[in-house]
Amino acid sequence: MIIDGRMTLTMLAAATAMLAVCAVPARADFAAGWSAYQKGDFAAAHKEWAPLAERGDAQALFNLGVLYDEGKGVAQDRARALGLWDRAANLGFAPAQHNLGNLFLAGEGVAADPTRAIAWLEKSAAQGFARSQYTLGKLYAEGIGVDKSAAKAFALIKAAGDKGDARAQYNIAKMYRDGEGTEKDLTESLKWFERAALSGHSGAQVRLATRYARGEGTARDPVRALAWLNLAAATGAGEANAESKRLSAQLKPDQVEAAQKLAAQIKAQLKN
Amino acid sequence: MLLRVVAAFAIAASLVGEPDSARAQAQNDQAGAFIATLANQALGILQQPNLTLEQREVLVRDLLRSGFDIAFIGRFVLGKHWATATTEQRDEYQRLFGEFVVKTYAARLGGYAGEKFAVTTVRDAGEKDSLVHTQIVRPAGPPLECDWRVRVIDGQPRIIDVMVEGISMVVTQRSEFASVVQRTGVEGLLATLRAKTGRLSATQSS
Repeated sequence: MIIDGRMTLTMLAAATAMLAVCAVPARADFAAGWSAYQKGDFAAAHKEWAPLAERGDAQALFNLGVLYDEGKGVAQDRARALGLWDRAANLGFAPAQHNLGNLFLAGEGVAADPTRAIAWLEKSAAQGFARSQYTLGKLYAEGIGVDKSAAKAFALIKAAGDKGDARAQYNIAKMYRDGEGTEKDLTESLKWFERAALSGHSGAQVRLATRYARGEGTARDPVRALAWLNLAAATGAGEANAESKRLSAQLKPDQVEAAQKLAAQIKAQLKN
Repeated sequence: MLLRVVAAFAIAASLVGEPDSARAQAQNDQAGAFIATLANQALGILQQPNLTLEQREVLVRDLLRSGFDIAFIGRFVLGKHWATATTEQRDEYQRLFGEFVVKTYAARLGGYAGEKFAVTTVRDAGEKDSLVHTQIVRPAGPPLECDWRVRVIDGQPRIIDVMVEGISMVVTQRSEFASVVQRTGVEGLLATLRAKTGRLSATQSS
């Protein structure tokens, strides 16, 4: 028994060493491709990743698909991207399952096919892939390609929001506000608008500003409202600009100044 | 497809007025310089070494977003359905449409390794606009040709349409979106736009 055990361990060690020997060059090729990609040398990235993809490396298959999807270093070819992502998706690679689902949903490079789109998104969502959970959650919320279910929508979107997805956080806030798929809860709603705003969601920043300006669900705080409007305006929310000017005109100069300082403080905390 | 081409041509033809005047010339010069500046800024961002390519591409998209009049284009493209959309649908639509436009056209500003960007010609497009023709020669893949329709709005030059091989983005999207809304409503259009803008780029980890 002991000898058997030792032999097994020795064999295991040998097998691991062999695997490591085989895997290292493959990883080195992947890394060389990644480094070329980061430099914007897409032809070189393609050259490094293509043989790995040929051997069934899921990540190389996925990245090669991206080059074809975005037309980087090659002519744009969505059908080819789809073929590569299909191979990676069948190996269980969540980003490939997600992208494939989105191609079938948008009907890009392939005829739109919501049923297949949803089948792939269910797989990546089940792996805990936040973007897929959000996408799928919205489909359940609207009943697009699936039977409408507010409860399923809320559970999926909440899972994505907990992982930090800004759009999901914004939607959770709206669902608490409207009592959709969950109990109506204005305190929770405000909390999630704040989380989404801190994740950089400009729509949430504008809505949060409105709450503070009117004192809805919280104490009235026009300085904080203006700070959030200024941040939203900086990220390009058109409505924020006009609102910011309107509110600034109503406040005293020292309040406007305080709002600018507060905006700078909040900006330092923003997640992106 | 043929219909779209004809439609785009008809609109372009109806907007091409009498060439001219010093004012038009000055406006064309301004539009050409505006697009060249955007391309130079994109080059500056994409050559920054300390950020990931994805982070640099996000900055280029923000840059392009400041160059487009997204609100103006988005509303026009949605057409009569703008009036029936709720405020929240309009908000999400404008956000997604902006993402879609900049994602689709950012690569046409160039800036990646080995690319050469040039403004080749600028001509009048109607009474108000200039059409800036650009070309990017790339180390691999065919050259990218593109026309940017630029209008001065509130004293600032802004992009209000992009043409690839003579086909207007605004005209194409308007007819495509109209058919999606007809089949699946505004929510269906939003789902399509989420799918068009939701794909992930290259990754180093799963």
